[in-house]
Amino acid sequence: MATTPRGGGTAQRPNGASQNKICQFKLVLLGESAVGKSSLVLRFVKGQFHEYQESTIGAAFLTQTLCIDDTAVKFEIWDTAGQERYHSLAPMYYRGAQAAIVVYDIQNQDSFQRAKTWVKELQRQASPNIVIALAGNKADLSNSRVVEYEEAKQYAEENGLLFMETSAKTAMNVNDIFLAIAKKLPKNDGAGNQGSGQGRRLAEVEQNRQTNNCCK
Amino acid sequence: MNNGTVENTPTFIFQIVQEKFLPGETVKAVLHAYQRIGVETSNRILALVATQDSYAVFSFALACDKPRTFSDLVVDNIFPIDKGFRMESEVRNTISVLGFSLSSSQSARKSTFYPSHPDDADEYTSFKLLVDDIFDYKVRTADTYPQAIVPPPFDDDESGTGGGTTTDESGFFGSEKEFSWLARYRREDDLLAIDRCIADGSKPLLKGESKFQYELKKHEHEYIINKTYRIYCATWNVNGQQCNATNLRPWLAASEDPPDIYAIAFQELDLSPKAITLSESRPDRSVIHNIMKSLHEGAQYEELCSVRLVGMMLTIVVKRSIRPNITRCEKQSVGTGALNLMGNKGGVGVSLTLNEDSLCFVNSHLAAHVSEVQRRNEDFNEINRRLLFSTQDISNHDHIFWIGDLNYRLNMTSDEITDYRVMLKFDQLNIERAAHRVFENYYEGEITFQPTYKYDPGTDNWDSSEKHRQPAWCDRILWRGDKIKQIVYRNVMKIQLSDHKPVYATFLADIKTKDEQKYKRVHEKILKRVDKYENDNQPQITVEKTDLDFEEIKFNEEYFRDFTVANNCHLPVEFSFKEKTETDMRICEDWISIDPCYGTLITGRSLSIRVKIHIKSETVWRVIKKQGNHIGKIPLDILVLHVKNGRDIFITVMGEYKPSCFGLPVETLCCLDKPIVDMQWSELTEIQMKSTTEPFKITMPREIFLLIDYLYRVGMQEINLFQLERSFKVNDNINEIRDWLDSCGAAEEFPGTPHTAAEALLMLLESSGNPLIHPLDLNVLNPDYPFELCLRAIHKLSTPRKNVFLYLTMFLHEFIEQNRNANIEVIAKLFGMILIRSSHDIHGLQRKNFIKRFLSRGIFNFARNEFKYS
Ligand SMILES: Nc1nc2c(ncn2[C@@H]2O[C@H](COP(=O)(O)OP(=O)(O)OP(=O)(O)O)[C@@H](O)[C@H]2O)c(=O)[nH]1
Ligand SMILES: [Mg+2]
Repeated sequence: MATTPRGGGTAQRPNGASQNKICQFKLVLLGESAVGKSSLVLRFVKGQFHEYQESTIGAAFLTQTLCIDDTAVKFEIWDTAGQERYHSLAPMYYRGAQAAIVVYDIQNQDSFQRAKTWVKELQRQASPNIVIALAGNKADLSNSRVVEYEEAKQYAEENGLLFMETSAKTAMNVNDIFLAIAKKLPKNDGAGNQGSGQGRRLAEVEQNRQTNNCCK
Repeated sequence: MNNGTVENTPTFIFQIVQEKFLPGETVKAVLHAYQRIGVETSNRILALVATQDSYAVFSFALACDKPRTFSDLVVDNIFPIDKGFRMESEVRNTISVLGFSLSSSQSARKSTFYPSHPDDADEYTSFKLLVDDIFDYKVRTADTYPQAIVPPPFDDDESGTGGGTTTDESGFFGSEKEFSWLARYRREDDLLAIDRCIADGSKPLLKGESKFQYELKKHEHEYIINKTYRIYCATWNVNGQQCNATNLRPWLAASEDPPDIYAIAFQELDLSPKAITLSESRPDRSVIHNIMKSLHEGAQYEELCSVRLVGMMLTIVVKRSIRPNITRCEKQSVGTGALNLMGNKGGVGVSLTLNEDSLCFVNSHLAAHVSEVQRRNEDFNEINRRLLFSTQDISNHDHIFWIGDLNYRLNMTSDEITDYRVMLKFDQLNIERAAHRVFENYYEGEITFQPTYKYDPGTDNWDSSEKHRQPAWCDRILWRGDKIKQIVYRNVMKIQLSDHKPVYATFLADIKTKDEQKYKRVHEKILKRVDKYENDNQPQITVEKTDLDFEEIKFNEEYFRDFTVANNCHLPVEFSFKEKTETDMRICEDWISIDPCYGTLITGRSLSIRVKIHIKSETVWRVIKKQGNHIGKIPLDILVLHVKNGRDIFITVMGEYKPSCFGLPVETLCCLDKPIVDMQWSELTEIQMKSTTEPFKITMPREIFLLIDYLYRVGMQEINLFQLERSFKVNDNINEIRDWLDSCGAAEEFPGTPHTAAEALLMLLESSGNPLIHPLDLNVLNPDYPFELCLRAIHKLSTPRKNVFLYLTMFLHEFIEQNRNANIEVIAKLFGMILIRSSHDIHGLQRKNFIKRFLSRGIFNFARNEFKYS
């Protein structure tokens, strides 16, 4: 061979200083129909809100990356269908998820009870290290609130959940809840412990490992 | 096949390339080429495009092998023909691979191409000539053109960890207004092409490169800046002498400012035959030790690596502070001595990556003697060809420094020695370079020093031996790369140890470097953009409906519903129905079938999917379980329509399974006091629950009685009434019998024939969740088991089961007696399989023999006692 391929590896190489990790995590949204799961995702990912959001019949996924310190946390967000008839399909989506947001509507006591059963189901059946956040949505409508903040807060504390009241409509706490999850997720490249809890590190990151191997 | 299709003609390609551009942007020439990306090769079409006042070379990636429309071409790279533009041929002497590289001040990196049709040199030659002409006309004639690119003034500010200085990247070749039209072609949605290619099955354009990396690379110019590094190259043929620290110092510590990188080359460190034959490759530590003591004192240094071959050694020393910026370093050596193998001549090289650029240093000792010009040229080519690093050869580096005893002499006799400026005209290397025979695309600084060879050691006198060697500039330093500026190029006269004088040169090289701040910003921006891109460009299908309403569903009837799925997005879509759990690998219930259950849809196409329901004897009990006590339609199943890399859509199969005697336990059937057609599932489940405790309303199910009674009356002489092959299973008449039975033998006449009646009987018996003989002590199947005890087992069955069993066996016994064609073996086997269904693997033969024991002997007495009228 007269030529050797031009090194693809010469394209970009971290020099000693930069450490730009990308960690990818699967996050699933669960909760009763119409509590605002799709609206939260839409607000987080596209910054939009639709007064007439269609009920989800299936499972949609979107990606969004948050940068915290020198790590990029890329969420692969699965928005599931809340209608009860689709309940049996939920495990397909929370299986392998490293994070979950369980959503209820602060105007709807049933939806809070339903949220509790989702939490139980996750604690029983999802990955053991799953980070769960409880979101009391539609906080902009606190006039018709029936689920008290303190009650939900206490429940969340007892169960080790992150908790925020959110509003997809006003964007209140929407980024914050995702950010809180991103912060809580393990991002170290710890050995072993794969499968559950550990974010998938993208190929780019792998290159960091080969620094400073010199022929000496 | 007609090869002369329009698609293949050059003019056709020309046309579709032209269609990529606006009026006023004219395609002047097109060249088919390919590019290596890692180990992959990708086809490219290069196009020289002109506007009124500027030119650029576009590199298009192809969405398919033979582009048919302009949308099959995707802009991969743009090289504006500006001051920084270069199109350089890579001529390889040994194999006729003719490559060339393109670079420009705006594209972040040099790209190497190879013409797709190397035999058809015309396409390449005419393209290159045209590009060269334009470059000459547009750029070279402009007064600003320097011999080598000179960056703006370097200042000596030692900032940053690297110790280099930063130059303003925009000032380098300020992007000029006349090139603003190019911006339109640097669009981000080029990404789409990658997906399109992957999805439609044509070769991926940039395999192994994620979108993210692709984007990052494309935006390199936004975060890559140039940092200037001082490079010190030195070469000395020591003629086998031992050098010490004192005599190295004037050679290595001659620069004003401390260099960032030293490349120190020796030749003839060891002239012994032993060193030659053993191809000594261990670096000479004592020499290196002396080197380290003789460096510039203004900085701390460490040896990066050393590579040796016999007398040649190349040592790379770097400032300690820039060591972390070197992320790769490799060494290699090539012997070109005797047989092109021995290491007394040849080259050693080091390849390294500093920040974002690759650097290569070569120390070579080429063939000696005045007459061996040709041989020296060959040695150069040989080293070029064989000095290979893991992913690149010498020419692939961004910056190359070639130093050593190149051994080129003067084409003149020694008595002509006059002024060295005159002598340089006779320098073989200058002559060979001018004739493009060696060191093509390399630069050498002006020589303003005396020849470096040959002196009487210990003096500055020319060789006084009888050979009387004529002086020559054997020891040289050349470079390749546009961002290098030579500062000095000298020999060191006062070092008299060898018959050669040492030579050194210092350079300032602009090294591409990530600006961490900018990189972070670009990195984040691109992450967001890739997110947006991924979200906006998910393959998607639309379905006509998400509920498939089957309304009323009856046993053994076939139903179907069709629905359309359409691809209205711009990407091809691969869809399939997904398994619902890891344990249950089915995509739907057993009694549902989907056709097709996977497929591909290109943009704009739609497809009809048919979902069928057919509830048979084996599955009916599951449907009943699902229906439970619900009245009316329920979601019988949910199908997950999955789109690869996209969202899932749930399709609900709705329907109401109508109650029928098929599938119900005999106990339940014995508790009914009205026709099943008139019943709701809520009543039926209630009855079913009570049937274990409450007295039965009838001795045996009417349905079974009616069928057996009919057969007894009209079917006793029928031929082949009970056969293992169930040829009447799919027969419309069965469903008429079903309706007749479910309305409980209303006044109408039996609608079937003896054969369909027999089949209906079998289906009725096999459709209930549990077999008729249930529960069963498996011991009874043992052929030696006393028949008395078999009878006891029957005795223990629930009354309806016992009654059905006795009535059935008596009928079959009678049938076998009366019907000359009846085969007891077949009948016993058939009923054995139906009446004894156990999850235990009971041998078919045992089941048959068990039934046969009842059929072969009359059990009248037993039956009379047992048959209970409750
Ligand atoms: N006022 C107010 N309305 C909201 C908020 N979030 C969602 N909604 C509205 O609530 C309705 C239901 O929201 P969705 O996002 O579709 O709810 P969902 O949880 O995705 O429902 P399913 O897809 O059926 O599971 C929509 O009409 C939204 O406009 C909120 O924070 N405030
Ligand atoms: Mg939704």
